[in-house]
Amino acid sequence: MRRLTTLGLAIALAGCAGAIGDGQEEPGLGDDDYQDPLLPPGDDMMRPAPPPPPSCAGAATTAAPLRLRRLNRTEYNNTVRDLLGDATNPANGFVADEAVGAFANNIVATVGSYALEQFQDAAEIVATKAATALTKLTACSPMITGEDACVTDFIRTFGRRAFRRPLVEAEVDALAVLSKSAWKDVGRTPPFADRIRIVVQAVLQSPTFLYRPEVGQLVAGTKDLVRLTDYELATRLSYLLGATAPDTALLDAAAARTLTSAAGLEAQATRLMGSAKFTDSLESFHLQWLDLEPLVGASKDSTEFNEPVRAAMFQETRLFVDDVIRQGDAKLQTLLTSRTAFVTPGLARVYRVTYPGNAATESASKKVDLTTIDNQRAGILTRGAFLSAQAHAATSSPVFRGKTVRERLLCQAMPPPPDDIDSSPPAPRPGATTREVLEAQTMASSCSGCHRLMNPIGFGFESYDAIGKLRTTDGGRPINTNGEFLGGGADLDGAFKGTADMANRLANSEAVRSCVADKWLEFAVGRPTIPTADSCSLEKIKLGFASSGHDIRKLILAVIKSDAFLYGRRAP
Amino acid sequence: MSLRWTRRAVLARLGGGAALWPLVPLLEGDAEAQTAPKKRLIVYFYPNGTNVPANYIAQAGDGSLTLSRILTPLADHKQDLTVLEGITNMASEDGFKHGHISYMGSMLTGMPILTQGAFVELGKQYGWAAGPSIDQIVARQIGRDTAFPSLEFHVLGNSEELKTQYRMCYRDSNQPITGMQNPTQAFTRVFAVGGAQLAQLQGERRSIIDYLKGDLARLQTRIGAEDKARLDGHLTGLREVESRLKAPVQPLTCSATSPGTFTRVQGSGTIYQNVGKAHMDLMVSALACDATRVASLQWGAAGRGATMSWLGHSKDEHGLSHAGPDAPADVEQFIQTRVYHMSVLASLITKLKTTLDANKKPLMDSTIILACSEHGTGYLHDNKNMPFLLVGSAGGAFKTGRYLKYSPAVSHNRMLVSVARAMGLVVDKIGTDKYGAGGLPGL
Repeated sequence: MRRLTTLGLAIALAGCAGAIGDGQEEPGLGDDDYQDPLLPPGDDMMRPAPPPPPSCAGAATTAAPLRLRRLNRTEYNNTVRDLLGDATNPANGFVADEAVGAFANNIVATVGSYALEQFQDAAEIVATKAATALTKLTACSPMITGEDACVTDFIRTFGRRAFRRPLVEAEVDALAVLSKSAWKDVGRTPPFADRIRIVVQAVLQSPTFLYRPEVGQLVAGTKDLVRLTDYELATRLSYLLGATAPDTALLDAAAARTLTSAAGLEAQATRLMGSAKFTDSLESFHLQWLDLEPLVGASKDSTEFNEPVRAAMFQETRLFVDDVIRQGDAKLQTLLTSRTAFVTPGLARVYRVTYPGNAATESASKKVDLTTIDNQRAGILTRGAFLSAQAHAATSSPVFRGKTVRERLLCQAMPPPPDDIDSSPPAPRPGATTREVLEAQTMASSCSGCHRLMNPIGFGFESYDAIGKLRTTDGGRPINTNGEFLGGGADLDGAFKGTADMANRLANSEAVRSCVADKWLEFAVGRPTIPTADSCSLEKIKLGFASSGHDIRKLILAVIKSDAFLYGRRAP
Repeated sequence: MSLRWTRRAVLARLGGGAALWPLVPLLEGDAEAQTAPKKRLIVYFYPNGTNVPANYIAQAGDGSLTLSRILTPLADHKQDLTVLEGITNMASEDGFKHGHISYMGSMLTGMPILTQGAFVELGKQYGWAAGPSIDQIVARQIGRDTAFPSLEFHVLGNSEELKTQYRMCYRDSNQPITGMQNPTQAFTRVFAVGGAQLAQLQGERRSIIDYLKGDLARLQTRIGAEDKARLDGHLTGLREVESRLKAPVQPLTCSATSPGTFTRVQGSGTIYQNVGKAHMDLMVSALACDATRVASLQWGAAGRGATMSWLGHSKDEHGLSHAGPDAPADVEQFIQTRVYHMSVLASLITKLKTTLDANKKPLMDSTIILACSEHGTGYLHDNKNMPFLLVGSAGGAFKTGRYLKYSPAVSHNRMLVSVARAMGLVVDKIGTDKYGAGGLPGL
């Protein structure tokens, strides 16, 4: 640590450790800027203070204002795949999604002309391709039924899938007129195939398609409380449980108003969780929740890390969450402690296991049990994706790993390092472990306030290097994976011995269970949870989660039945 | 049967080489526009501040200019420079305040960061900057007749993330602009129009945009005020796309060379250098073709940066920027990164001096480059002595080849006003005028 001004010291002290403060703060110079994550926010915080304890039984429905979400890139890709059979992932080149909170929800920023031209390009390419196989899009014969009637028929059926509700007549008319008049400048009427293509092209650029408007129905006797309509619930359900647009069965259920009843909603949710598409959603949740996306562009100094291994790590994440949650017992305990791994030949080398197949001729991910090979490698946090995403190119990062656990599993925000310190990773020192170098760098009281909350958790992963490869020494010295939890609640706090012990402690922590419930609600409603609006919903969700023995599928069902999912407040 | 012209198809037809770009004023028969001198603005941003005063500030004293070590690469263009000392980013003091975040947001807007918004840091909410940036304000005036009112190029990083410290250009309060990161995409977007079937394609696109506007209007009636404002921005974007569809194609009057295919754009080292160079080439071509008159190049995100391995560095620019007097080796490397940015700037100036516009005049004659960074002294992460550097005067708006020192310090808003005035805008303030109105005294 160098460059530590008095101001930096004051800020760092106030940051995470009021208790360590030595009173050298300079009034008015940012001493109020940092918030101890272990303490409840003060009055001046923008975040509203948590409401007084349970008055939830029999309390009136509370809900948060409805925000307009725009499809993220994954949702756009999947939607186009399901609507038109186009699996080319056209949204991959779109401008970045915006995450307010942990998940890409696109609820604030405006789209500019650059993004709109990307939507235009994608729509032209996708629609042109789709129109070459016209019979797959519509069975209507213009020779028999008439061209206009066939176009209108297509608008109604395709539009219902794309807009996730039946079209109103004005919408049908607008598209019908467009399809006929789009070439008016050159004095031609497009032939039938082009009319269909133009409809697809327009719908894919339509704000009604790109955004997910929710209006709801006013609850009698309230000023602005609304219950989402059946179609809006079908959409929420489908993007939550499949990261895609509702299928016909779900739209039919909405039309029959069966989603209005809790039983009807649960029946559809259970059906969708049985579908293979549920895996898309589970994958999307975990990539974002555990902050695995940095692995996309991470470069590594190891010769054992290459593009197939990177892909294998992502593939394992998908197969692992599918195996545990969709096909397995769905227990949080299993997610965080399972010794089942999915390896390609390359990833098998990283995990030091034998590939259960012919490594010379096969490349598929295959299931292996790590119990007898590396019993410490327990749960999703000990896999290549997390360990590589939360590490540097050449060295592990106990700070990144500990910070992610703190923020994403304990839901405690960590302040960034103060402005005026060198926060770049310490250079490896011969004869010292990463742990020793980091401890020396952050031992100063100004740093330790925050780092005592991150480093000792990250140390639990130290037997895994920058690409998650097992190691017993680091810098020529033996690895120490013992660590400590602090400020995580009575059932979590205290020293742990090794990675598996740490994982097990996390799996049985009330704070982690509560945080997981919070994150699933956040993912479902597309915004960070708001204490004033969501606390009663969260209370019920957590009860449901607990009574199921912390079954994540049951947790999701509890989310779906919560007021936070079913209701909203109409924004002024 | 149908004939489809996607941008890609057109590009392929062009062989990825020569470009077609309509000179809009020519088509509109605006004879004056062919001869009247146009004005052009380039923003050149490098992250993490500089090393002032020791190695950046030229020389105190009589207003003559002696170049410092960091500015030495600009020696050939010394007579075009205006080096400023004593400019403070005062506006950044007024909203959410935290190093890179607030200084980056205020740098080109002259406005503070909103204290309400999507982000939480230090336990406090914050949003984006509270006003439009200088490039957009100028573009609204001088970019009205061009296909692209402005073009934003982004070299390293964090285009994948929307965060206040990663963006410098703002359409309006709370409306950051995401720059183009892939030169291949950028080239296709700016230059690949043309072809025989274009009229039909453009007509179709116009019709679809008409439909989209109707759909947007229907949607507008069903949502809350805040989301309405977002959709207003969507509508503005659609109108911009639409305006580019109006110009029929004219024969070549300028040329641009395809940058080739960039499949990967993230990374330090060679990728960083190549993407930056391709962006600068495209930028100059777009200016020469009068496809735009306002462009910005962002070399990186505030608080991040390249690891200049070709200079033998192993720490990135941000890590090095933290080095203070007690770490002379890192300071030396940090200075080397600043020297690098200035030598690339010098190559951009040279290119602007050797590329002619439609009037057969060097582009540099009608251009001002505003070079900037979000911090003053890197290791202090402060907002004093901001290294704003002006290159050129857009046809003699002020005298160049000078060093100007302000003591006491003046607000950078006044520097922004001077730039806007040089671009022909009649303004007394850009952003806030809380710290004084009008342009820089003595410029």
